[in-house]
Amino acid sequence: MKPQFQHTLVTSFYLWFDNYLQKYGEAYGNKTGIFYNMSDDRLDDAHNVYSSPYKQFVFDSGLNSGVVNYQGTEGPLVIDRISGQTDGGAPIEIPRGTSGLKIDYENGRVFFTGDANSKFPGNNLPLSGRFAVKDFNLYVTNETEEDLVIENKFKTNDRFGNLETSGIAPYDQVLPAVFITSESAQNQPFAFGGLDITKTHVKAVVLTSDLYCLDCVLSLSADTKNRSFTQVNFGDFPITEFGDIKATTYPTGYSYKQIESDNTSELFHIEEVTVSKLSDRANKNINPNVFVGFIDFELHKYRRPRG
Amino acid sequence: MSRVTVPRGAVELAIRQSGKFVKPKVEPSLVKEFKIMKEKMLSEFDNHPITIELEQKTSADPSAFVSSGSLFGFIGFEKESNPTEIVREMLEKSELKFIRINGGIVDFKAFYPSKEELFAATPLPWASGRSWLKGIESGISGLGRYLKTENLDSSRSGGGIQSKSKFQSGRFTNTKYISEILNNFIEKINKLSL
Repeated sequence: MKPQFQHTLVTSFYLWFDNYLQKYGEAYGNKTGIFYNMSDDRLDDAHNVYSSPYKQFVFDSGLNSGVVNYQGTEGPLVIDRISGQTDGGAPIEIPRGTSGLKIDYENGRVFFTGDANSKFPGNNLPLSGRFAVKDFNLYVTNETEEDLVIENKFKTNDRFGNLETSGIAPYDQVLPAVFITSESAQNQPFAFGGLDITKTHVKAVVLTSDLYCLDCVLSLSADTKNRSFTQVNFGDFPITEFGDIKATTYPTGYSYKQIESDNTSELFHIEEVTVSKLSDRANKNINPNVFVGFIDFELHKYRRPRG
Repeated sequence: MSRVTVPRGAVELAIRQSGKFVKPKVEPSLVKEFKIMKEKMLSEFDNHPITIELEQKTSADPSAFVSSGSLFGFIGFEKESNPTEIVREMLEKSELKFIRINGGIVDFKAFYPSKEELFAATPLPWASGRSWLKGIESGISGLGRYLKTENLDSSRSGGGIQSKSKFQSGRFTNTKYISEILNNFIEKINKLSL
């Protein structure tokens, strides 16, 4: 089936919210870290996987402002290469695309598929890289709030720089995180000629072990009322099935700032936002170290659904 | 036949003063009409299946709106709470007020709670920034039920479901509720005439 309006909406919302948290909340941390050799059952032997202890990596290179910010940097480091040593001990630096290097920004890892002659740089290399990790991972989910809050199946990104000795398992969802779901949509007549307002309720559940960070996200989110964000088509989502940036769509890297400036006419409007914290801490089934917040967005889009 | 000419000043004076003579004549019938409309609105609220289920608390099981258990338990209300009470109180305060006389024009204004005021007055028991009243229309999660399922005796509504391994919160069916009741009321007010 062709992508529909809801796909475009979720794609647009995801990319905007990700950018919004990082731009206005500086919700990222720059790190230098080791990549550990890992296995992944979902990938064939042609992929040599190295994983960092963190996920998700920031992939938006438009966030680098050139001005020193609150963190003392000019923005997040978008990893595009790794460095290390070959089996023989020679220093190497491998940029993205060389030796089939792919960067899985969603799972905080890299993998090689070999060079043109299918030669790998090595199977057990000491590799490291510099990257920015999101303070809040963003996931689109279909799980219910009770599933998310209660099952407590998540791992946590290390916050205090403890010595990590292994990479993080692929595909695990990691906290702190915001889980987004598009709950309901309704078209209402707006003007003659078939123009409707499509009202969509998007709900977000925020899970974090840090009350300060929860307050940050809720406060930033509450301030989004009456903001607009740009429409990004489903096919223009920047990440591939491997978690890497789509080289054909974004040959010079992905920049939300660029997308925003290229498209100023097709917008979604945030009509209403309510934020709330989970106030009932009595139930012992909820992990007392996890703080929960809820954000309810009402998004409006003027469109001709029958046109 | 002789013609009578009424001086323009006298006509203007009569118009200017007509309001205070009209008001006592029209006010009682307007207030009476408004009262009937308000009674109808309150009756619509009282007889709405959502109101009925919430007033029956956990005994409204099975519910027409959630796949298992009662709606009251699903939302996670305290056993002693009467969630619909505050809504009814606010609707009950709706009134028609005389504002002013401006020449021949007598102004009355209808006061009733807005949806936003009602939503602000109806927080979820487990997330005070969210409104259960709004959730009835836009969707509500089953988290409230789970928060009281651990021990039925000490649960808040006494209507939770035991769950040691896999919990079942059920699904809620979004339902037109207060918006529809208010819209019907506003439509009638706009048609209010003598």
